[in-house]
This record gives sequence, C-alpha cells and structure tokens, in this order.
Amino acid sequence: MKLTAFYALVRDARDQLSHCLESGTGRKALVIDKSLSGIISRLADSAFIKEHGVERLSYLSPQVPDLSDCHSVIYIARSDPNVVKLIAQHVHGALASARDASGPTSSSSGVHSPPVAVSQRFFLFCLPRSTLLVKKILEDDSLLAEIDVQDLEIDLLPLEHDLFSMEYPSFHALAPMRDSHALYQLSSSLLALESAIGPFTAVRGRGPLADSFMTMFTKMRAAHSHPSPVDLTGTNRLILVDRTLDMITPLMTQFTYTGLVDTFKDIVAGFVEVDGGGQRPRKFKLSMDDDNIYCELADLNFGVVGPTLQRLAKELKAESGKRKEANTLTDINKFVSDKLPELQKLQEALPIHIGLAESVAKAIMDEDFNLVLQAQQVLLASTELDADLIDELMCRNYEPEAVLALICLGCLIGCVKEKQLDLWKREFVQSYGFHHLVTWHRLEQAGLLTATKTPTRQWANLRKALDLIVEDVRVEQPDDIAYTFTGYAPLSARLVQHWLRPTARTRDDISRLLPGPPVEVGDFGTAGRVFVLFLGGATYAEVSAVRLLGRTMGADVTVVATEMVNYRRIMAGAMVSLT
Amino acid sequence: MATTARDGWIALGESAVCQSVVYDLDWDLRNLDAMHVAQSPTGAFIGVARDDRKPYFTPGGAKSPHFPLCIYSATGQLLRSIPWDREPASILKLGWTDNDQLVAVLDDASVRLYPVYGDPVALSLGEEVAKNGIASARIWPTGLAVLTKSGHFTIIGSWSTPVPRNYLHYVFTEQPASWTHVVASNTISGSVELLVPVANSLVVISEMDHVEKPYSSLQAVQVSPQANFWACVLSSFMLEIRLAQTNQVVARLDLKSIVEGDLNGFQLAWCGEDAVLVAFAESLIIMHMSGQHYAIDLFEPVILTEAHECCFQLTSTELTMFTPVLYATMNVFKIGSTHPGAILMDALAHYSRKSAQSVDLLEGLLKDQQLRIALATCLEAAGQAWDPKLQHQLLQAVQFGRVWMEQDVTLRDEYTATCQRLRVLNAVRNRTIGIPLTALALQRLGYVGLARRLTRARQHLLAYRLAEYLHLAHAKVEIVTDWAKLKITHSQDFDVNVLVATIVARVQASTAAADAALDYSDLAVAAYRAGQPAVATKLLDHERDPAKQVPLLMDMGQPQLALVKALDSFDRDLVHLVLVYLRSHLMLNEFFKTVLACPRSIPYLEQYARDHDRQLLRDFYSVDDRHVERGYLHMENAERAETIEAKLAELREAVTAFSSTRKSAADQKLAEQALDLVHEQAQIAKDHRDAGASTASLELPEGKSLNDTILYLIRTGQTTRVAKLKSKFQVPEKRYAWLMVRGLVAARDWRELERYAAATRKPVIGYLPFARELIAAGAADEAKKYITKWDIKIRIDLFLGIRAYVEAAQVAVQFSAMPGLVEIRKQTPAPADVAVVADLLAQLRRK
Repeated sequence: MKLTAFYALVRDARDQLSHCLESGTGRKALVIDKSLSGIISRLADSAFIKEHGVERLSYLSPQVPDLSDCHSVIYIARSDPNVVKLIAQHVHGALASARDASGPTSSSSGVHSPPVAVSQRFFLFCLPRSTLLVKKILEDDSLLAEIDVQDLEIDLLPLEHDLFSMEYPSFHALAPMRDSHALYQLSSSLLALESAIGPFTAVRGRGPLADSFMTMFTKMRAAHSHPSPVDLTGTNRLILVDRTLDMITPLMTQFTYTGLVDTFKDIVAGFVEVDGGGQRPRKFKLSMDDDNIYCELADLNFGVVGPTLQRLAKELKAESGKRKEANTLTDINKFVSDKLPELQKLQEALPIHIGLAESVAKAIMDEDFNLVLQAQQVLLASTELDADLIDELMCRNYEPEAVLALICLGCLIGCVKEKQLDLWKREFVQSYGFHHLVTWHRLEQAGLLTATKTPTRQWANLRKALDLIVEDVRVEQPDDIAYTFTGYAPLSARLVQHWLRPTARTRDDISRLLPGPPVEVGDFGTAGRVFVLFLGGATYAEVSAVRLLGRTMGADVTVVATEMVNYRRIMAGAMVSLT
Repeated sequence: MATTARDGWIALGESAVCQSVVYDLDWDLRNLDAMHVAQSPTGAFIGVARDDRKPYFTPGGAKSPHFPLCIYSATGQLLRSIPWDREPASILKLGWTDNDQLVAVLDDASVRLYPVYGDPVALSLGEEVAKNGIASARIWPTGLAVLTKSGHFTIIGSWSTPVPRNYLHYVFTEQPASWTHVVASNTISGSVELLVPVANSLVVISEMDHVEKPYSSLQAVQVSPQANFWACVLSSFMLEIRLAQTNQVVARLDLKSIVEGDLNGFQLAWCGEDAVLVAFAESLIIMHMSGQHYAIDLFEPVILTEAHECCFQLTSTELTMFTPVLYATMNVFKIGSTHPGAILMDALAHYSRKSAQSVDLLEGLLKDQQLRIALATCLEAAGQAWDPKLQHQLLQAVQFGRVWMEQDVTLRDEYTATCQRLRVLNAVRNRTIGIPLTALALQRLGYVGLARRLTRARQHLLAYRLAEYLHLAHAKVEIVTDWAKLKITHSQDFDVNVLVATIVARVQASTAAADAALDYSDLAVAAYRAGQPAVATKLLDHERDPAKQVPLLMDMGQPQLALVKALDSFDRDLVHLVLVYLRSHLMLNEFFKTVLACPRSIPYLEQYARDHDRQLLRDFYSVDDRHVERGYLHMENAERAETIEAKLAELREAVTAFSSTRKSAADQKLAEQALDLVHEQAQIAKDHRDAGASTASLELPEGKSLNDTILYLIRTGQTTRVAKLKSKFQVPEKRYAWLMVRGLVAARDWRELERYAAATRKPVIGYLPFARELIAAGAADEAKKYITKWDIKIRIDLFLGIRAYVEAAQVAVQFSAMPGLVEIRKQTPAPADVAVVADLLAQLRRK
C-alpha cells in the first residue's frame, strides 16, 4: 500500500474543497487569496471548480470586484487578520450597494416587480482552519451574522506521492526559535495523517526544533486522543530533520534538475511558469504522477539532463513512428486507444522540459555563477572563503541573494572574522541600499551571520566524520547522495542515512559534533514506512537525496516539509517586504 | 385476539389508517380554539398560549387577564410556565424546532426560542419586518417564514444560523388568504420555497426568483412531508391530492357534499404520505390517496399537528394519533388475510389451543417455503405495534415459527434489534415519560437523538440507562455533562471543593476513560453563568482542549491565566487572541507589564504587532529598553514610508534609537549615512528640476542605493558631486574604480574612460574589468584597447570572446602556443581572417 498516505491526503483535500465550493446557491463567485492560488490549483483544475457551479473566479485584492450578480460569494483565505479585514471591507461594500439598490424600489413596487437585487450570501473558508481571532474581527465588524465562516482543512499539500509540503514560509520564524507556529501546524496535520494511515511508532531525530516538535506532538496527541475508529496496524516511523542543525545545505547551489529549476524559475506549490508560446506565460504543473518525462528528469544531476532529454526525444519519435507500422485496422485502433493519449501527453511535456532545461543551462553558463559555485566548493572542501570575489560581486551589483548566501555560508563554516563581517555589512548596505540593514539584522538573528571569534575545526571534523565531501562522484546512476550537489553530500540527508541504518561510529560522531538534544522514541527497526520531516524547509535536491536513500536502503520513504526552500527564497524572505 | 389488533382501524379501500387515543390529558384547558396550541414534532411537548385576538373565557366566566405561556408534556402535565403579563408584545404564532425548543413569533417582529428547560433566546426578524408588521407566520421544525403586512416574505432557513432573509423580489399588494412552505431540503433551488395561491394562479417564491403559473383557484394548499404530493382545497371546497411534480390529480373529494355545518376555518394536515386530514368545526375528513374517504364527527374543537409519519389530534381531554397502517401489520391482521404472516399467527393460536391444525398450517408454510416470509412479516409488524400485548403475541409467533427453520443469522439479529427497539419504545411511551413515539419516528430520530430528547426533558436517568443499554458512549457523555450542569446550577452546596469533587467523581465514574473526552469547559460555562466563578475555574483545570479553556478564562476575568494556558497550547492564534483582548482591556503600561511578566509571550507580541500594530511594537521596544530592535523597526518603517518627509523622520528616529547604546555605534553610523543619502538624493533631484530636464532619459536615483546614486552622477558627468559622495561615505578605492568603469561604460563615454584609465598608472582593479564591462556593453573595439593591457595569458580567451580572431592569433604567436593557434584557426569563420591566422600559424611553424 505504497500510496495510501498520498491518496488519503488528496482525497481529503478534494473533499474539503468540494464541500467548500458546494456552499451557497445560485450563481457563485469564488474569491481566492492570491497566496493560496497554487495550493487550490494543485488540488482542483478549473473544470472541477466550474462543475461546482462557480461562475466567477477572482483573486482577493484591495480593489472590490463587482459581484452583485452572484448569489453566493465564497472567499478562501488564510486566517490572517489583515486578509480577513480586507474581506470584511468587501462584504460591507457589497451589503451597502445591495441596500442602495433595493431600498427605494421595494417600497414603491407592485405585485409583479422584477427582481431588483439578489440577496447575497457570503462564505469564508479559512485555510487550514479558522481561528477565534478571525471570528472576533468579524464580530467586532458586526459581520459574523452575514459571513458563514468555516474551515478548509488542507494542511499538507501533496506535491508528489512521496513529497508533502505545508507551503508555509517558516524558515526565518523557526530558525531563531521565535515562532513555533509552523511546528504546531505540522503537528496537527500529522495527527490528522495518523488517523488515516495508522500511528507513528518510532521517532528519531536531533536538535532543538526536533525536540520541541516532539514535545508538542506528544502533548497534542494526548489532548486529542480519540479511540481510533478502525484498528490500524503497520508501522510508521518518523525521522525529524532539524533545519537549525544543517543551515548549510539550503544555502548551497542545488544541482539536480528540479533543484535548479526551482532556483532559477521558482517553483510555487509545484507549479512553474513557462513560456506560453507567444502569449503570456502560463503555469505548468510539475508532477511525477502524470508526467513521465518529469518522472525521469526530476532527480537527475543536471549534467545528465541533456543526454536524457535527447534519448527521450528519440524514443518518442520512434514510438510515434510505430503508427506507420500499424497496418491493419485493429493495430491502428489499438495504437490510438492504448498509446496515443500517452504519446500526446509526452509530446506536450517534452518541449516544456527542453525549454526549462535550456533556460537553466543558460543560467549556469554564466561566468559569475560559476565563480560563485567554485567559491562554494572551495569553501566546503578547504574552509576558505574568497573574500575578493565577494567584494567584486558587490561592486558589480551581482544578485544580492547570492552574495548574502555566500557570506552566510562562510559564517556557518566558521571562516569569517568579525572585522571582515563588519566591512561586508557596510559594503553591502552601501551597494544595495541602506534598508538592507534590516535584512542583515534578520539574518544575524537567524544565526546565519555570526563571525568566528576563535578558529574552530568544527566543520572540518564534521566533514570528515560524515563523509560530506565525496571526490569523483558518479552523476550517472549515482550511488551516493553527494551527486545532488555534485560532490557535496547534504548533511541533512547524511543524518537521515544514519537514522535509517545507524552505526556505532556515526552515532558517537553525531552526538559529539552536533547540538542536541537527541530525540529517540520507540524501536526504529527496519520495517514499515518512513516519514522524513524537514522542520524549517527542504530543498528539492535534499528530496532527491532522500529518494536515493530510500531506493538504495530499501525503505519506503516520504518527505514532509514545512515548505520548499532554496537560497534565493531564504534570502528574499529576510528582506524587507513592502506589503 | 385479532379484534384488539384491529382496534381503531379506519378502512380506506385496500389500506387503513389507525386512530388511537394515546394519552388522556391531565390539564384543565378548555376552548383550545381560542388559544395558540403547538405540539412538538415528536409529539412529546405541547406549547400553549392565549391568542390575544380571540375572546377567552375561563370556565368560571371571568376573563383571564394574564394567561402565561405554558409548556405541557404529551400527557398534559405542566412542565413550565412562562409569565407573560409583563411582556409588551403578544404572541402571533407558536411552533417547535426539531430540537424541542418552543418558538414564539411576536407581533414586534421578534422571535423567542424557549427550550423546555433553560434560558430563552431572542432573535429579530430585522428592520424590514419590524417596520411593516407581520400578517401571518408559519413555523416548521427547521425554520420559519412570516408574511409582512407590506406583502413580502422573510425567512429563517435554519435555527443554527438564524439569519432572517428578506425575499424582497416579490411583493404582494393584497394579502393572500393562505400560503405554505416547502423546506429547503425538498426543493430544487436549495432554498426555502413558498407556495402562495392568488386568484387563479399559484406563485412559487424561492430565494432567488419566483414563478407564477396559472392554477385552479385555491383556498389552501399543504405539501406532504416528503414533498411528493400537494393537498389542495379549491375555492369550490373540492379536496384534491396532486402529484407535486406533474400536478396530476391523484384523488378528489367534494367536501361540500359530505361536511355539515360551517365550512370555513378548516385545518389541513397530512398523515404520512398516505392520507390527508381536514378538520372542520364539526367533522374530521380523512381522504386516502386512493380517493376513499371517512368522516368522523367532532364534538369539540381539535388541533391537528402533522408529524413526519403520523398526525396528532389534540382535544381538551385527549391526545389522539392517526397513523397509516403499514404493509406488514396490514398483511398479518387484515380480515381474511392469507398472507404467510397471518397463517403463522393462526398456527400460533391453534397451538395455544392445543389444536393439531397448528402443525398442518406450519407444514403448509414450510412446503411453500414461505415460513421465512411469515417470520419477517410478523417481526416487522411487532416492531410497529403500539400495544405491548400485541408486540408480545407477534414476537411469540416468531419464536414459535423459528424452531421449524434452520438457524438464520440475519433473522436472529433482526429479532434482537426489534426486541431492543421495543424495550426502548415502551419505556418512553410509558405515561410517566409520555413521548408518543412511533417506530418510524425513532428510526428517523436515532437512539442518540432520542437520548438527547430525554436529556432535554430532564429524564437523565432514563437517558443514561438507554445510553448504557445501547452502548452509546458519546450520548452518555452528553447526558452526564447535562446532569452535571444542572447539578452546578441548582446546587445548594456552597463548598466549592466538595461540589467540584462530587461532580468530577460522578462524571469519571459514569464515563469510561476510553470514551470521548468530556467537555469540562461546557460545565465551566454553566458554573460561571450560575455565578460560581470559583467552581468554573476549578472545572476548567480538567479541560484538555486549550481552545476551549482560553476564551472562557478571558470571559471569567482571568486573562493572565488565559495567557499562560494559551502559551502552553503552542497555538499561536490563541496567544494572539489573548493579547488582543488584553490590549483592548488594559491601559498601555499595564498591558506591557502583563506581557513582560510572562517572557514567553514576548515573541508572540512582537510578531503580532509587527504585522498589525507597529506603533504598539515601537512603544514596547521603548518600554523594554530594546533600542537596537527599535532602531531596526524604524529602518523598516523608513523603507515602507510613502513620502520623503516620513522617511526622513523614521530614519532620524532610527539614528536616535541606535545612539542609545554603544554596541550599536556601527549601525548608528550607517543609519546616519542613510539619512545623508536621502538628503543628497533630494538635492540631486532638486538641482535636476532647477536645471530643466536635460537628462530626462535617465531615472533619478531617489530611493536607490549609494552605488546607484554614484553611478547616476558619473553617467551625468557630475564629477564634483561624485568626489563629494566618495569622501563623505568613505567609498573604498576599489569600489570607486568599479563604479567609474561601470558608469562611464554605461554612458558610452569612451574618451573619459580612457582618460580615467590613464590617470591612474595602473587601476586598483586592473584592466580586466574595463574589458569585460565593455564587452558586456557590446563595444568590442573599445575592449581590445584594454585587453592588450592585461595579462597576456588570458588575452586569447578574451579576444576570442569578442570574435577578434586575428588578435587572438597574434597573442598566441607571442608565446608560441601552437595547439592554441591550431584551435583558433579551426574556429575562425571569416575567410579573410582565416588567411591571416593561417599565415600566422605558418610563421610559428617556421620558428
């Protein structure tokens, strides 16, 4: 039953969505908070939405759309007070205009007065659930009677059959341990998952976030204990990856196909923007389930993507050629019914992936990009940071996210002195704007910009103990997770590898070199599903690495992340937003 | 035997309706027609109030001035009396909700919901109704509708969200004589619909629109419980049953020909989906779907109440029930029935008389393989029977017949379930409980629903036993909770600890640990409302769900405790809720004191305030002496500022904040620089405007970084300003050099670039940046000049990069790089160049 968890999630989420869209009667309008559009479209296409009687679809914005011809208006938003206030404004506006329209006519009209204005009904679906604060805001606005507030309990977005994301930006909130809301939410979604697929019997992990997640999970589980309606057997195991133990990996340049596409084309809720063939760019759904080409490419090191695409193109051509070989009517018929739909799908997807691969290839050919890449590898392998390169990149106005990520990496490895860091801070804010003082401060708080006071061998020891740098890595048919970063084996995935098959030596090394406390519950064993939780976000390359571990170690592994991260999103997240 | 089974049967063709007196009423009410009377859907409760529009005389003859609103049980016991003498409004209509609350529509456009016990809830029907007044009203278990005197309908579609909806799109100029409703679950539009007969047509109004179709002139119309049929009384007093879908007449009866006396003011009600009852002043007419009818003489006024599967009739002395006789019962007991069920009963009768014919009959059934049918039919009939004696007989017959058959698991289970159901039914039908529940009604209600009803009627013990008997864990918890609430509210025991201990002990004893968690917060609310806050707080300690604890603690005036509980829950939204509550209820300094006393809450405050109340965050940082944080907050605000003035003000605040402590000296300096830069940029913009738009093509550097500002100045040739900024902001030489190169290349000012390159003997950044920037700008020829000045080894690549093959070849020749030169020759495209390169290659070969 490999896909149970995935299908359970998809089914529940779609049920929730259908229930939401079935609210109200008559003409329906759906108004979605823009930040949720990806999640909604991942679960339901426009046909699904239309099937449920939605005739108008718009995004929530300060500008009030005219929906007076719709009988029911359904809002979908996060339980964010600011968003709810905006919706309250909309509803007030709609109610006022309805009063204006109906007021004078109703008193003067006779028996056969035509319908003047429809009486509208409003629904607000809060994702993942409404809060008391939301209700209080609406109550204060005297709208609680007008708006039917309900929950849209979609916690985990199933991106792939083995990858679920909460799509909740939490890296910065979690890293300095300030706001544990993401853990709370993850904890409650795991409780929901538990009731669908059976309990988690064993847990392994390490680090402060893992520890507080476990505390929370245990406590909430006790508070919401319901006798399970069905006796669910089978073992589910949990591995907790604490992002604060490995901040280096997400700042590195990923080298898998999906990782690079995410870096350069920004994958949101599993959608990537592609060229719409002359028209405006359109969203393309990346899914290994319905796209065989992506299924082949997703985890590949980018070095072998080109040849693979060529091979696929050839195969596709050969397959299409078979149509000509089909001579008899039955053969043709068989071809059309069995192969054709699949072929058409491939023919549609192939050029899109070629386009994506081309734009990635173009980006990584860039001279500066290669300098940064080289600097990263030198830094990890020999604990030295090329200071001149950073200066020069700033002088040349190179992408600030990349510059910051490199400085942060230097700090994390432990080779940036205080004086140098102060100098870079001044250079950085003078080059990119003084408001980046705030950016800098936030990264300091996240523990990413800390100068080294006394030189340590921490990183060198860790690198040696966990075999983090692999020379001569095989990118074709890889046998080690280091293929995902072309030579660097992500620390996070090495930890997962250890927990899947622990040895006494690595156990000692880990407890000596990495901060605690350790989390150990139950007998881990080797049987049953494994859920790897990335607390604080995962990169696509790490997902690929964990997949490889699952394949080589014969474990059924699913990755659950609070969000999908890359160095750009992390750095951009620290920058002042104007909204 | 069979005679008792057919008692009260009214034969209507092939079918029958059973008329049976359920209870004699203990009350001493007379003149029901002068009062509002309403019976609840299960028949368990009866609401009675005076109808102010009708004269009323007590048996003694004195006009009663103050008749209270009363709730009676189905046996006529007074359960509750609500004084009405102080009420300013009079009652227009009474009805019941599906969870046993008495609904009263008042003439001031308000609606009251009275539970059998407990506090009433008042609802308003809205301004529109209050302004115009109510002409008529209808109440049904899930909602109500009123027709205003101005001629529009207002609906409450559900009691859970009792929001009045005005159907303003259709307005009657003349009040219709009668109207009826169709519940939302039975309509296509999904909203409550209203059927209003007007002269020669029928108007159907839904929430969205209305349809008016020509129709026979109607006096009244009533929709059957499942909305399959309409019962209509035409103006000509023709009673018709019509199919709702096609409007086809199924049955018809001329009432004028059979009813004596006053024809006006009749009541119309359905008895299941099978028959229609029309009550006139002196007679009651029953018409079956088949068109067969039956008339009963009435000696006093009656009140008909339509339930889902039967119809109740109230008089001042008794409660009568009309139920369609169901198929199984019919087959067993109909006179002359040859149904296997009847034969089985016959066999049992013979057996009890020790007659051998019993065996013949059974063998006959066995031979025809009809024993299974006989058993099932008798079992079904037993389940429907009201009289325990009859139930017993039927069950006996089943037992008797069962031994002749092989073990049948389905039948056995059905038998057990039927016995269980009958035990429950007999218990609640008992006069001491007084719920006239039919087997079908129980099916619809479910055991849990029944347990709830009993709880509401404060029959806790019976309810608890029922839940225990049927293993209903959730219901048990509900019952116990309700009991505990009553205990709290009515307790004379003022020792808090004892009371709480009693309750908790009882609760824990009667609910197993594995049962669903008991809602202690519910009990706490009850205790708090009953004026026992100490009990409430103590009870809340037992509550496991913080989302229920926290709001209550706030309501109970214990915000500090609420804050701690919210923090313990890890639920951010709860913490924010408490913080928002505290903020609106406390003075600012008190608020900060509370937050600071609870350090765990500080990050939550920061986060909430950052997104929703930045002024609050500023004040908080000031109070808490967190000047550096405050400085960064102002820096953030500066970036968001919409005007230059606001931005400057924020930056000044930031500088002040940073200057408060020595450790942020560096930040203070940078903030000052930010301030200076804004000034400079404003000056640049002003000068630009004063000079007139000479370089309009270039965007002014306002709001941009220092680098961008310097670049702008270089590109517009404002050399002195560049120098000024360089020294003022201590721009390092290296960066300055880069900016010069980038600026001059962007301005495509080659002369100035050359001058700059020459001015310093060797630029700090070397010549490579010159070349690269020029190449990037597409000025290959210019780039060549600088390539030649650079390290000879990488010149080849640079030349090749700009397709200067000849130059590349020349360099290669200089350090005799044979393979490189061969490679260059391969790459060279232009024939002229190829010749030159080949020449050079030849030269090198010769060397």
